[in-house]
Amino acid sequence: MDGGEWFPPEPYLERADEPVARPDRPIGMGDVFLGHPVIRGAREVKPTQWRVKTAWKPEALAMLVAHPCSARANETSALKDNISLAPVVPMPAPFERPWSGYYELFPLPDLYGSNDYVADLSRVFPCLPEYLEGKRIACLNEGGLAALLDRLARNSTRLEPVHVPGHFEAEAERLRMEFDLWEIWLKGHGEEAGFHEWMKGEWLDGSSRLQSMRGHFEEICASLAEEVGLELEP
Amino acid sequence: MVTETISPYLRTPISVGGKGRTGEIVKGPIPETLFAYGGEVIARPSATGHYLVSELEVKPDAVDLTPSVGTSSPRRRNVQFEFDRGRGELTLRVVVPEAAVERAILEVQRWNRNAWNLSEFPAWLGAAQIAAGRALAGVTQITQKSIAEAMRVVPEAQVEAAIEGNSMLRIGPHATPVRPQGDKAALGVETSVGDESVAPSPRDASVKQLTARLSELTRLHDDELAQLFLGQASRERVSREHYQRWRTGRKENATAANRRRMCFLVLLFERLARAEVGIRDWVRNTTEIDNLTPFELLRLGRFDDVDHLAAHLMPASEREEVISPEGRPVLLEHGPASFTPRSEEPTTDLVFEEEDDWVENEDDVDAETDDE
Repeated sequence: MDGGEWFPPEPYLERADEPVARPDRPIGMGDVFLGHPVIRGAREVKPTQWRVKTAWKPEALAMLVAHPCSARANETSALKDNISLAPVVPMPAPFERPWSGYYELFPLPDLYGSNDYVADLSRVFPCLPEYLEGKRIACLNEGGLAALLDRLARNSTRLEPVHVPGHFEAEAERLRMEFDLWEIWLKGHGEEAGFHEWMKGEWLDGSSRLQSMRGHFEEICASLAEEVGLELEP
Repeated sequence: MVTETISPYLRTPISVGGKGRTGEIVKGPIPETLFAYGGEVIARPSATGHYLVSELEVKPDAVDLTPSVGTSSPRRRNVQFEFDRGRGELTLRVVVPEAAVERAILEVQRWNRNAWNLSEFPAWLGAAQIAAGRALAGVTQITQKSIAEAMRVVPEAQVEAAIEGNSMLRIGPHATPVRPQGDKAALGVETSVGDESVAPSPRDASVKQLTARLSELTRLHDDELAQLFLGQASRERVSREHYQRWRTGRKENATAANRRRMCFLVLLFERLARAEVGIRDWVRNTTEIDNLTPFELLRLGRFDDVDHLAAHLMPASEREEVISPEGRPVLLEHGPASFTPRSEEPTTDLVFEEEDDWVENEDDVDAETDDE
């Protein structure tokens, strides 16, 4: 974990200068959105009356930082109201590889318009999920997700991630696999709903697809693609 | 890559007593005793654990090889081993990680003790292994101080325990210890004597190396290990013969999915082996997860569940001082890295009571553009 090795050489699954990146992938942790206002702390304008200041511009960027288990409802898997976004701002000049310290900043090199940005994890604000649809410009890949999990843990708890070698990679793999499958589902069915019921269905000898996902991912992928009539890219 | 050989540090070159003669290919029972000139016993098949060499490196086609480390009366085995004419070289397997050997050599050099005795070698190896062992657990930063400390304070009993490890090294005039590279040393697979040996990590190991390591670590039969892999037809297992062809190198190809599974399993079992878990028994004992054994869970692809069980199996008692990426000394606990299983996620959502005494200020929200 020396010299910025916590951060992968390429953190993105896909990037686009205009929305929508990866249109069939459900909205997930680490996605970056364009054109959503940044919401700042409320201030009291007179006794009992408060105002929330929002700031907006067409190039406003923000990243979804909530884990899917907290951003989505348990029963329906739909995105909850008021999910957590972190504002994404231009990378401050002295902050550079290996991005040591400043744990509240998650680097997003070459994110948008060939410029470097950071997600400011200290200024997380709520947003309604319907305003994120069609605005995604970047998704993180497995390595990028592992780095984000690492940074969130450091920032929130000052945990030294060397204590948990391999943990964030395993969780990132789990997330990536689940969203890969969900993407196939969405391509085939045109909607997110129903995927988690399908995942809870039996895969092998009483074990569900969800339980067997990490061991039999490729086979579950192939079976889903066949079920929805899609041809998987080799 | 370290280029020093071990032989110069030994009092005499390794050669062989018993039935073997230089330049001769011997087929037959292991000689009663192998020893270096000078009378130091380096291996005794009847009690292998207490000598420098407790396993002979055998040819791949050697028959009925059974690991004998830790057993009091290993059975006689027919093996084939080869002596290099003119060099008096014997290929041997030592039960310590290569990283430990490397560190032992470096320490000897540092202390200018080129004339050390063969009988001291296990002690050096053991001490170095304790210091370097964490490197095999994926921790790459080891302080010089911690190595030196371990060298000084390691008790003899610990040394003996340390040399009961399960990696290997070839000793000979041209043997080359390999610097550990992540998990490479942990895999303990090597190429040939005299070459620059490369121990591949699970990520760049061949199918043969991975499956051979799996068999070595788990001591499960081929037909059992075959059940952990799926064939081309979805949800069908590969056959015992198929697995055997992988393990013996007769079949080099495996699907990406099976290669991924091999890597996962090798990393998992390496981790358990380092924690001195009796893997063969552990995988067969029933667990609290659906009353299934780890083997059955692996067979069903339930890697998360097995990861979780493995993490909770290993004690968090060992500690080591390492340097963090920011250059700070931190105390590293070699304990379980576990996670909250998805199965523990509730399936229902909580309903929060609406409180009716809130004053909504929605109309007062300003929206303004901002050139941040």
